[in-house]
Amino acid sequence: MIEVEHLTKYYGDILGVEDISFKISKGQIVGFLGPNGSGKTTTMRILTTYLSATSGRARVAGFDVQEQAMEVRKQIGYLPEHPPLYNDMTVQSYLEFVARIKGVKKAEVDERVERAISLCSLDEMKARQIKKLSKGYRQRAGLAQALIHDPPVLILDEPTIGLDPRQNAELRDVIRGLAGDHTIILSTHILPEVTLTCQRAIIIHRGKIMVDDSLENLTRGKDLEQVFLRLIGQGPALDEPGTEDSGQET
Amino acid sequence: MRAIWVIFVKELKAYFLSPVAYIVLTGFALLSGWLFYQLLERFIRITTIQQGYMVGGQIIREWTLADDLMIPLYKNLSVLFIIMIPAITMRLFAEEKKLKTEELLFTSPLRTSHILLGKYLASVVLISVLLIPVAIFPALIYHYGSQPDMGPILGGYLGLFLLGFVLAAMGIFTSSLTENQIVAFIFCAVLEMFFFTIGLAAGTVGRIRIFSVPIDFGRVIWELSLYEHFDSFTTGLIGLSDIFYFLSLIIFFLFVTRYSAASSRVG
Repeated sequence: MIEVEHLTKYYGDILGVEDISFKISKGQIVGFLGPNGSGKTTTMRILTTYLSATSGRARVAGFDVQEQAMEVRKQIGYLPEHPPLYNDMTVQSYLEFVARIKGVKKAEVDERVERAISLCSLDEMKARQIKKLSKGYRQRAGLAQALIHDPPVLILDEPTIGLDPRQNAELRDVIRGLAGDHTIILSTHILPEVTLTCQRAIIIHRGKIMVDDSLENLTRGKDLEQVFLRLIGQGPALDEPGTEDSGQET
Repeated sequence: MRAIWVIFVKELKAYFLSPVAYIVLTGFALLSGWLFYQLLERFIRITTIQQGYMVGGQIIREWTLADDLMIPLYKNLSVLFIIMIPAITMRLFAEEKKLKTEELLFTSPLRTSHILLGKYLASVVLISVLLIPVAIFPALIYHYGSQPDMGPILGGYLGLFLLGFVLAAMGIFTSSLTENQIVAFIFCAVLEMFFFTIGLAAGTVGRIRIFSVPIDFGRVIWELSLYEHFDSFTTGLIGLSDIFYFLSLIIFFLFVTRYSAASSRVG
């Protein structure tokens, strides 16, 4: 469903990601794992056609992100790191607007909006102005927006950031419920997140893929946290001295 | 077309969901009424004193409703536009950047040019709504005036629309450059004033030679000036070159906005 080949992105002189390649087949939930600034968001933005890559190729559902951007955009539901919400709109009118710009036919809009609202448990909030929503509901409105046109691919950038444990668990249930029909990439720097939701983890550090394996293999006999910290050079079994910048926050 | 329409409706609603439309519409209506009243008072005053513009005891031009009431009104309104239009356009792209909703728009199956046109047309409609109440003044003059020359009066009114649309194109351009609406506002006002006043230099520069081709630089500057082209509408003769000038400025600014709006993503 998603194929990435030797993708490289530089922002001027600054490295975003370098030579990353991976494939995700249909129906998988994949966790993108990495410290802040490791290139998760960059990769997602390239896959969603928001940014263009410096070199390399990426295909979503068989469409090239560079050359067939419009087709790719129809296949993707995207929740960016900051949910893209219009504060003056109500949840309902916001979702109606998003449905229209995603190309949902006018006759189907109401039905799609209803579905997204019930999937994300937003019923009580649908008539409320977005600026009056709590953080958790904002995040859910963001997810509802990504689901509205029932896209085969979902790209969720830190979907659970800033939520309390209960909201977190609820959102996770929603995401797990979507698996199977949808191919999902979600990024996070919170490790339990991945263990609970994903089948496979891709660990990125400083723009490079360090590990790409199923969760079973990664956690066999050890804790994912240990694996992760060792890979990004901060774990106990250190071969070389850890370097100064990035990765401190994990 | 669907995309343009959806964005257009969203932007027009946004104007009326926030106080912007109400403040600008009532403000402009009140100020234009006030200006009309003051200019009318002045017109009555000068006509009771003498018949026309006098030089050395000779009347060289009689006072007219067009030249001494309506055209000064339009020119005053054009100055109001310098403040009103950026207030309307400043949010169009800057707000999307600030709210990060830009990322939603640019990852949806919409063309940048369609997003841009939807937004521009929403501001064009608001500006047209702004100018509708102004029509009452030419109507009053037509009804109560003694055979006013309606050519310049209607020409000037039409010129206000075109002027507003050009300034809106400049405004949407400056809005696409920043996520700060105040910066967009100020930059737009500066750009507008530059185009308004550039004609002042026309008389002071002469011919220059570029690659030994003599070019009347003063004329070039004169032709670039918004004020001069707006002014020629108030003669009552609508020149094709004036319309062409306004249209080409609109197209130019929309064209550059097409690129600057998308530039934050190229990175």
